[in-house]
Amino acid sequence: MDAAAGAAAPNYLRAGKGLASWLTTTDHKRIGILYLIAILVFFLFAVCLGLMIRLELFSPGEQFVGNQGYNRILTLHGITMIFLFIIPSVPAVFGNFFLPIQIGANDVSFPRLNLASWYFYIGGGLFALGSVILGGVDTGWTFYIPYSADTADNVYLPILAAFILGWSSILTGLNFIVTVHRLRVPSMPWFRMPLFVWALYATSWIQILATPVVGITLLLILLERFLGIGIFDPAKEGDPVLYQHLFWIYSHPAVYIMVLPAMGIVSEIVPVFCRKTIFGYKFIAISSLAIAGIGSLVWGHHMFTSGMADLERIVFSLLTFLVAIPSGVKVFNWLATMYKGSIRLATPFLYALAFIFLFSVGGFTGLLQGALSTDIHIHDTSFIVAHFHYTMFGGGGVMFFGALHYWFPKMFGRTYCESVARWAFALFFVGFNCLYFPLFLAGLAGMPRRYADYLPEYLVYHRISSIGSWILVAGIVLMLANLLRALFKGERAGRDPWGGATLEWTVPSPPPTHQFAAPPVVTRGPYEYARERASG
Amino acid sequence: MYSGASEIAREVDAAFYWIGGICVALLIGITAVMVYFVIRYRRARSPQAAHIEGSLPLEIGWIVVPTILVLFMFFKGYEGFKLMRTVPEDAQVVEVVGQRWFWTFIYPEQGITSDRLYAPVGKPMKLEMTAPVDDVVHSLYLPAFRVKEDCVPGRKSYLWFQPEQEGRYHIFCAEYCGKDHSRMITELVVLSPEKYQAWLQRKVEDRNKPVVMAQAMDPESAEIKERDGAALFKTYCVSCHGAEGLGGLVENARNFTSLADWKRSPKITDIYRTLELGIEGTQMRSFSNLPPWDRFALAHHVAAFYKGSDRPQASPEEVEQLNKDFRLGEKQEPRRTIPIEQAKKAYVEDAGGG
Repeated sequence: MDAAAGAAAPNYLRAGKGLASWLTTTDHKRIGILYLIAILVFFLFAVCLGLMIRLELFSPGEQFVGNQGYNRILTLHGITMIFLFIIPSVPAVFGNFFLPIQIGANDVSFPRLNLASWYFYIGGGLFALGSVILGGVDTGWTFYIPYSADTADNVYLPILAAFILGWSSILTGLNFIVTVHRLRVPSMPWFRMPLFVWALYATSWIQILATPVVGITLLLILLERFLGIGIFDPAKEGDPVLYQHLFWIYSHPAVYIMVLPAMGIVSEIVPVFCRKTIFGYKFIAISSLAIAGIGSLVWGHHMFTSGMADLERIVFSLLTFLVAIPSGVKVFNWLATMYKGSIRLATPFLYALAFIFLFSVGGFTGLLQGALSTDIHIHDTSFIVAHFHYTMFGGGGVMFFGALHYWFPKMFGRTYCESVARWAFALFFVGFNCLYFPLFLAGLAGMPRRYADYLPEYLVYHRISSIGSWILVAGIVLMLANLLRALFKGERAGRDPWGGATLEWTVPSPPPTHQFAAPPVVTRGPYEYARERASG
Repeated sequence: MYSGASEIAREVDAAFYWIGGICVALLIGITAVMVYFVIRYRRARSPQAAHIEGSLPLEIGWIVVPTILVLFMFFKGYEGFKLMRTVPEDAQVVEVVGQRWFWTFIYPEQGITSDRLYAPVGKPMKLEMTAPVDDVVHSLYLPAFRVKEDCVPGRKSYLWFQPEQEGRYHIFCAEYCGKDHSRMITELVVLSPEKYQAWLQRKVEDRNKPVVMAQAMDPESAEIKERDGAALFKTYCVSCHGAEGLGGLVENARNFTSLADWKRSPKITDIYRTLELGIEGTQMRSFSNLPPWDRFALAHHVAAFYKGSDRPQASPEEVEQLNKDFRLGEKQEPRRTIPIEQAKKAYVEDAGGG
């Protein structure tokens, strides 16, 4: 351990004492930890809801929550997982913590705004939880009109929650863009930035450009509900399909908010554990921007059966296929990075491999949904549920945990038990596939989604899926227990336990509040290990 | 998956095999390469990594080849879609209305309706679909035929299919529509052309049959007994009023086991009136598309939830008024329009007249 550096300045965890010092902190690392705690709490809450969904579907017929109970659980599971876990997860926790360090800065450009974003996040989370206390809401996370204007449940709370969380997302995105432009050390030109920074930069642009659309749309629902303005209400010659367009103009790019940062982490982990520079750096960097760009033009593929004009459907189908190309570029470059590498199969790398596999399954099944005729059949079936969980949970979620294992020694200065972490990963991976893969088959056989009950012929798929949910949860519990134990009893970690070449590995673990006394001088690319070995 | 039940289904399945086949091959390839590299270049065997920064030809290759592949996939999907959207000119039109939480299939030529979709073998069927403006979005899904299209309030949509063999096929609601979304299931019944004609004939006769008020008002009459009020209740009423008739499953759904606070009155004549007109401002729809005899059977079934003997009886004048208001004694007119629009109009006339 680098005792000298650690003794010179207290690390960020010990820089101030007491709850107040945390709740008023403007240190980007502490804010990252605040997000980590809150996001994990919401995640575990939503996992419980997901378990309840799978228990209800264990057998056909009404089990224990009934139709309306099921609809409310499903809605809350979706809202919590999407708005409170997967959208903020990687950028808010690891982006906040590592983006400034990776570009050689001591903080983000607007530290107080950064703290305000966290409070917006907590405020939105409390509104979402408040809706549970008031009996829940049954619209689905998509809030489709006219249902959301018509239901007897308290729609305004989760809608305000999503609206406030949108602000949190916009402000974080804005902060990151300014930080990347203004605070990069002069010795780091654009094409020396770590790929995680590239991914966050592309994500931030989606956050600030697309999120306002959904904010305005959600407010329109409230106006529709309370004032009856008639913009969506067919009884007043409004158009329910207009709502769907506005919703997906945000919510499709939002899936790239969920997955682009995860791809950035894969691009960090793969070269480190292969001891080899990343293959096709520029192509990976640019493909993030390409995904953000093309991904903003494909929202209509959520609406192939909504009654859009046939020509619209054809155009959206074509655009959807094009967005597969930059994702493919990333996967091929990661594989090529492994070629002739020197691979260390540590836990973070296992998560990265799982990402490549699970996200590929999700991506390829996405092609069946991008194609018009096949999508008409599987649209709104459990095939979509499976695809969505493979891309979002298998993508964003898996790399959230991959990043947690990768950067845990840096964030907390301790290492976790590697063999327990591998066992937890194995349970996670097996449970994941057991839970979601059968839903592809059920969907192909015609099982509609959002069904509290199902015909007996779909029993076998649901049974296996429910059993998978227990395995998956066992894996998550074991993984978090292992990390929690490491927090207090883990061995001390050194500055650079994995042998990484990006700037965060040059500062002590955990870093001091001001990690760089003087701006570091970057003399090589972020993944150049060969030269490092030659010189040292 | 069901075997292909129509030309569209075969076309869609072909696209599934093409696109799915390419995808599975690529997935296996990527996974195999990944696993091979992990084993081949593990640190024990490959202590020193090579220094390779990239390769322009490779990058171009894995941009161009996938682009060609996905354009091919797009085309495969487009082919089947084109077939789905090109309705044969001799298709028979059936109008479909999706409501929370049941389907109504209207045969406009015959002026009859059904809660199940009937179709003859070999005839292209075009479904023209909508939902009432005060309802929510539904989606009609026929998995065996690989077709699906939303029923959007205030908009018209369509799909078509051509059944090739007799049988029964599931119809699901695929767009989330609230409490009983998962029970909004009915079936497509494909019959031989002869049996189909016989079914139509029977439905038309049933609709035309004039009502004899004395028998209609008597729950024990043969005409009421031969109709299955319980089955009708299960199809149309149970989602909101419950199997025990206790109500409350949606906002303001009436409890049939009590005589208190009926919007109209608990008399059979007024229950019939509500079935004809619906109740404005609530989810209680008009069921005027059902044959009048069915509605009387349903009214008696509803009335039977109250076990006391003090249910108010309709006076002879009230029975006669009902007969006159809805011309029940005459041959019944075909119902051509969507029930809810008709119901709203009828309600306005009723309110104006009363």
